[in-house]
Amino acid sequence: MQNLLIAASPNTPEIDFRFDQHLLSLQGESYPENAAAFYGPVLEALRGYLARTEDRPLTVNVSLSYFNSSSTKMLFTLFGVLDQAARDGRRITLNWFHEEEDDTIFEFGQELEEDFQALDFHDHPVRHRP
Amino acid sequence: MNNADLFQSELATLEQALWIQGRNNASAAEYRDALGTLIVEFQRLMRETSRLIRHSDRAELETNRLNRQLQELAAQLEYRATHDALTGILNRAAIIERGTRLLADEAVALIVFDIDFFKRINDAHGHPAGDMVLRDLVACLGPVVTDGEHIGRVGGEEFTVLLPGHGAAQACALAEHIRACIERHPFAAPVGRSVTVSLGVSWNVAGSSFDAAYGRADEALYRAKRAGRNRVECAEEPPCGQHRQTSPNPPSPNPPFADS
Repeated sequence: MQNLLIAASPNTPEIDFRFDQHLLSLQGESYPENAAAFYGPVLEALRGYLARTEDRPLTVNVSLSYFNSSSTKMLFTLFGVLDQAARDGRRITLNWFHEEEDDTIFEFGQELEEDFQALDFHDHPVRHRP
Repeated sequence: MNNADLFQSELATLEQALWIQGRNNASAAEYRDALGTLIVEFQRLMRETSRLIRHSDRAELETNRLNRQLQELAAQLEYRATHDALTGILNRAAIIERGTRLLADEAVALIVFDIDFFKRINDAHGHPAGDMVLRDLVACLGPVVTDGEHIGRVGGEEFTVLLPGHGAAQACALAEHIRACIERHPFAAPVGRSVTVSLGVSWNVAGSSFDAAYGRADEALYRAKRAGRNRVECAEEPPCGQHRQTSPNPPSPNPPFADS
């Protein structure tokens, strides 16, 4: 299955889905003009990958410093898809990176852990780089 | 995924529910199933909505806080850009801008004054003492130059007062009042003596340029310097009445810094 790489733009994150390594990363800021249009193909690729490789452990690294409300809605869908796959028996690790002092992103991670309990959630505070 | 919509999954669920509702031969089990799907979606939607609301409330609070901070900083910046850091009165650029704006609409009298022998204060007591004199002098003018009049520091020891709505005689009287106030003011140690100023006044009709108004007041100021300092001179045109010649208080027989 083809990997999915979407370069970061000023208002969309980098998407680096290395399906061959079972390693998916989202990194940057997310406030696209049309969040559904941006995340649609991402979700489609993810669903396709999950359907094809049911037994491999998967690692997801998320390092988003800002996301708007419509992106949040799409991210809920994305984590929902991952959570469902984990409920179906797959081992999925979610590494949640945020700046040490960013309480908003930290708390969002805590809520994800609460809402998507099948995911193996790990919080990673990162020291701010000037 | 062609028809990209934030509520794709909710729309699909709704469509399914409507379809079941529209059937008139569905079984109880089918209705229960459809209701079950709706319940799951509804719960998910509630959970997501409450998360989103919390986040947007938090973001709104933060935005409001930052907006307030931005307004405060903009006001500070505006103040710093228009005020002299040492004395707190308008700076050169601000007094020129204000003078130009006022002159466009109305007659404005302008006083330009300068501390006599200021260099000697700096030379004798150091620049901190000179700075103190500048601050003290501005402070003692506080009650003299009132609201609606504008005082600015245009150079090292040179000041300008804009007097919109003042007649020439009124402006010259105020200049004399300023002169007397400063002469009477006891400046603290290390200066420890009185300091005097020389003043020039011009009265300018609406539509005058600031440069012309300032130039005429400045010429009068230099006449005051040449005539012995610690006095008011008014620009020739338009005439300034009884204050044109000299100040009513002649310089003291032993004026400060009289040795220059």
